[in-house]
Amino acid sequence: MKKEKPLAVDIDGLLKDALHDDLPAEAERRMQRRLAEFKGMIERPAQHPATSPARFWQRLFLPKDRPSAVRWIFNKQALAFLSIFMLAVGGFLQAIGHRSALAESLTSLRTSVSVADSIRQSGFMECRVQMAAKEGVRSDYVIRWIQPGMTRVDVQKDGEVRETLWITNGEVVIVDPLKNLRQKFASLKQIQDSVFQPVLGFLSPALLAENMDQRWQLERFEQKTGSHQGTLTFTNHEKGLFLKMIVDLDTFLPVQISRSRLSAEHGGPAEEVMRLDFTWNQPDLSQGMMLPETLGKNGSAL
Amino acid sequence: METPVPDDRTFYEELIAPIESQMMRSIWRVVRHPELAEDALQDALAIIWRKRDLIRRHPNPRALVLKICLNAACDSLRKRNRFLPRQTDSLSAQGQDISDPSDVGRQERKRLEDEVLKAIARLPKKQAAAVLMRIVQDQPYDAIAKALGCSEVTVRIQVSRGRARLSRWLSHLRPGSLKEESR
Repeated sequence: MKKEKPLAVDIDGLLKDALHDDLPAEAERRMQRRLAEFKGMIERPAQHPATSPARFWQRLFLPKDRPSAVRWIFNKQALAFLSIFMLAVGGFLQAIGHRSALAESLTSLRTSVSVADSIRQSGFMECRVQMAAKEGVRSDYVIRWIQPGMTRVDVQKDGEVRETLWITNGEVVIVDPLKNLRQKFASLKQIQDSVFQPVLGFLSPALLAENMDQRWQLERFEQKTGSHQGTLTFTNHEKGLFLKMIVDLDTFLPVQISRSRLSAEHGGPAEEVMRLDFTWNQPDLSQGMMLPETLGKNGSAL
Repeated sequence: METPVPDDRTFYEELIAPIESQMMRSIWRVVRHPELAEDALQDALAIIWRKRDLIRRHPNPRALVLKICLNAACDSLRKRNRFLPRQTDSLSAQGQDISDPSDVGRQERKRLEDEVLKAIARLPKKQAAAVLMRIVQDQPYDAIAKALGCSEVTVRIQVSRGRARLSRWLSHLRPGSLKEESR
């Protein structure tokens, strides 16, 4: 056996002397009391109920008598490990910019609700609608929310206004300026099959907001970093439509809505059928727009 | 606390009672403060109770119990050094009942004791246990090895390294200074 090398300082002597055995009476009395309690606990466990908060926590963290699952949960090392693990995961997710599906879903919903609310509160708007050409003929619309309860929609073909739809306080009137005709309808349902059918969902703030809330199924919300615009995506499976709404995140009002057919193959957008560009300004009424009151009677020529 | 089985009832008489004094003295020699020694013993007893099955099956249960006591004492020492650096002196003074400021010799001795204790607290846990069991408790290497759950060679290496570190850290202390003062 190798002999222990003597050191410059007599460590053994130093330790024995510094840590000499001089147990004072008070310390001995205190420790004897602890030993007696320990002995008593072993021999008479029922007389030592754990009632105080300190004992409760002691039991929690010295959980020999806990079921294994609970013991693991309240194990200090396990909690420490779990905390570190969660911090690491949090830091990692923060670093890679990952967002949970739940968080994304909540953000989408919150944005959609905010946009619908902003639309409801808006008083006026002008929107140019471009439709995909049908048999070489292209028809466009200009929708104007002039004031609450008053909307005008012009159908344009080859840059010329062909028909005008007026809605004033529930009264629906279609005017044909070329034929000098005016037709009055009791409700919008009566013009379902008219040339205005594609834009019926955009005739008032309430209608557009209602579509967003009830008819269109919200898919997701996307926003590019640093951009003030975001894109809400909806689907309308009933009509087989895919809608993409570009939203100004400063005002929460739509800037553009693109409506496409829903692809049966991949569930995404197929060809675009309609595009709406919104301008949230008071429409210019100085361009010879006629109010319904200036027209002739129901169904009569001008 | 679960109801003890018959073996638990004899646990104290068989294993703890015969070494009660050694347990208390082992803790005291490291902690050197009545309240902290009491707390360290409480911690040690909690661990002993939790590991009672292991202790019963252990080839040298008494050495293991003493090692648990030493570890609890070292933990207490480390906590005191880490969290209560400014209170150490007052706690130590309280423990040693140094009330007479004119007793310079005793105060000097206290200062040296504190330096030794701080040096021990700086040692790795296993190394500190090996050094204390060997030097302070005078336990044979094989008993220490069983208590620490390692080979005798490992214990010798740990003790040797511990001694070397302590020698380096405490080299400024005058050899035999404590003995002279304690006389």
